[in-house]
Amino acid sequence: MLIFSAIMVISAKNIVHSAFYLATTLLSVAVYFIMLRAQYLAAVQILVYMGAVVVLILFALMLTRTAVGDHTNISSKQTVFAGVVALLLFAALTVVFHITNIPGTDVNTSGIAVTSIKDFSNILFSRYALPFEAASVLLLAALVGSVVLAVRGKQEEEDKGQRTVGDNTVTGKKKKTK
Amino acid sequence: MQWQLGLDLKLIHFLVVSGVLFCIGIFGVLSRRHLVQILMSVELILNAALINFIAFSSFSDTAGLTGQMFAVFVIVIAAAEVGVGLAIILSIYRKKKSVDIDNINILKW
Repeated sequence: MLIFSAIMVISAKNIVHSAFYLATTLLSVAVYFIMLRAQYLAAVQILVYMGAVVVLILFALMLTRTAVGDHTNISSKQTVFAGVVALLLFAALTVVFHITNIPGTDVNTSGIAVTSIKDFSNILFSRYALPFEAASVLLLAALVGSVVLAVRGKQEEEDKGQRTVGDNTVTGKKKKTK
Repeated sequence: MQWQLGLDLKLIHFLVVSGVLFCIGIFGVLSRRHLVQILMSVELILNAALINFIAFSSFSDTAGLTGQMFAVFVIVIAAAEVGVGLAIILSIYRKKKSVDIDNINILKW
């Protein structure tokens, strides 16, 4: 199901459909996390990725005024080249997997211990406290940066609008109705 | 709190799945023209890396929870990157009135 929805993400005819297929792809990735006994990460993935990232992408699709209806997806002229590159990469990856001697390939998934949240938070706040704080600074920088990018463009648009429209500002309309 | 799956899944299965997802994401990045769809393919690539991290951390005795820690920070960074990327896409749309990547060629010689 993961591979089917991933293929549909990039090849759905409607772009909004491909955003929904991205949501099902993220959901199946969370199911993979549960299979690997990392259930807290599965919940975090569903909350953050499906809750925030997919909603952001849908908002962007709405704000960039993608055409409504089917057949709104456009593909580039480089599709064949991209397919060749992807297949070569996959071939290289499988060769690497068969060559290297990865320890732990003999264990089944029934041999994995369930990750307890107690251990997880213990490590997160003691050994990985510095990346944790750095991640919060990064989130702050991303928040401020995206607001600055959005507001600056809007101010330029407003300045241009007022210059070209001229007398048709709010005060001008009031005078005309009188 | 142990539950059993019906199948016997080894590490190689998860690595192959994440490799396939990675290659699909790279194909999407290279061959799509809509900017938001390129961003969605980047998210696919990041999720493939996430599966890889957590598979290695679960199957190895010495790694402990390092892979899952890394996965948490990858999720955080991906969310921040999507926010900033969408702000950039909106600025581009305001300036050029199109999100077709073939129209964004100001830096061409």
